[in-house]
Amino acid sequence: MRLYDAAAIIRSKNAGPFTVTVDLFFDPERYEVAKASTLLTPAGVAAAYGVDESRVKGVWWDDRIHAAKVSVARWSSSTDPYCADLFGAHLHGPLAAAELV
Amino acid sequence: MIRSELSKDTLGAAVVGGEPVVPVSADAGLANPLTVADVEQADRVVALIGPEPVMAALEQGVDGVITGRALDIGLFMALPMLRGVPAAVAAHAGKLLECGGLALDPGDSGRCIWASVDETGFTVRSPHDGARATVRSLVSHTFYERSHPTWEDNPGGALDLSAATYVERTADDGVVEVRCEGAAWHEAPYTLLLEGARREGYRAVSLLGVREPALLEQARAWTDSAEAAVAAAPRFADAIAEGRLRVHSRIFGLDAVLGDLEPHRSVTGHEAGVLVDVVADSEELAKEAAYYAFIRLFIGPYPGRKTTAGNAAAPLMPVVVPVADVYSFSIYHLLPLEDPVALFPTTVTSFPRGASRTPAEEESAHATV
Repeated sequence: MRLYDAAAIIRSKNAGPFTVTVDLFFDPERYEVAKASTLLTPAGVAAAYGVDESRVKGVWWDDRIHAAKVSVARWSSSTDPYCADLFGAHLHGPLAAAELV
Repeated sequence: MIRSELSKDTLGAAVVGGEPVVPVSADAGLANPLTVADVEQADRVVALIGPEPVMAALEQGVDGVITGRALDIGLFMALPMLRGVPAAVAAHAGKLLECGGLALDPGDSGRCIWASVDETGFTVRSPHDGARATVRSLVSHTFYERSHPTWEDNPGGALDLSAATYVERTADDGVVEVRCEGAAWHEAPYTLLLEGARREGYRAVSLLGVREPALLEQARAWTDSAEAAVAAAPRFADAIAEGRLRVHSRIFGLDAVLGDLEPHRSVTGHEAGVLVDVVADSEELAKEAAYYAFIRLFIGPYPGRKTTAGNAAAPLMPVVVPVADVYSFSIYHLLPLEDPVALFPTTVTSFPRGASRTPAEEESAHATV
């Protein structure tokens, strides 16, 4: 199953101009699957985006609300006149498309 | 009113005479430390003021405060802190209230939110019949637009929500509310976040719609050849060589959103859009190069062409649209400050303004310290 299908809500947004953060909200049973996955680890996130692991600022979990947060240093930001996504609202794609394994 | 733009003189003096002004993230490629030249190259620099200047304004007995750029949660922290609420509680409440009804379920930032704040915590309610405050809606909002879910560096300290608690309960009046407690505040040297923008040029664009199958198959080669035609034109040679002109084609339907991260390497749909995006040092040059690129895309030959009267659909007239000056984020640094208020005095204005007096006479500046 792809992360896109497993998550109920996927919230991609800038956290400051140089970091993108992706908030993921799950149903309770899917949350456990996600939390046990190798995709939602710093190494898995780095592989999905094709960036060095040092660019992944962290993956965090909140059991109370069945949510995860993934933060990555932006590879293109508003320092670049040709940045394609200034709000970072659509940068979840490669992560969401990856298999949740 | 509190202005939060910093003059280049003020900032230049701080850069030269004070502690180093370092970028928030070392990996953002920004100057480290900030120099006078960086300050001079920026068009404008603002500081995200903390709660302290707002507290100072409120202490003058004003009815309301209008600020320039400010820390979102600081606006909500000021009044509670003035009344003795600890910074941890005020900051935690500010974090949940800053986007109004977005922290409710369903979230809607166009709506209001309600909280009662005291020394040990705060209680949140929805003021709307159609929305509720829930543990899930509040905790999920603490994630919003933040890189870390439970830690946030702020002027003078860090807000730590790792031990925060959220309890849903039904109040005596029957309303469901959420009690929030347990935030911590870790004192740190006082620094303000600076945001500075540097002009990179002027942007002009042109838009073309493509649904010709033979062209969709070679969309990138087609835009590459138009860009090459601009680069080969003698009239643009100097500007390109000197870095004063850049031409870039964004192909929507191919990789305009993700760029190099896009796994699809060809157009898979039945139509695509090409945004010719030109950044040059002047509006005239940007428009001229965009028009040149448009013409090449519109009538330039490509292998297998059948549609020799025009290669694409042009939805806009004029076909080149001047957009605006283009800026980059050149300053995103931390300014160490001894006094959080001194640089940001309050100007008090009374309303309604008297008809017989000039605005300058109406406004009387009062230093707040």
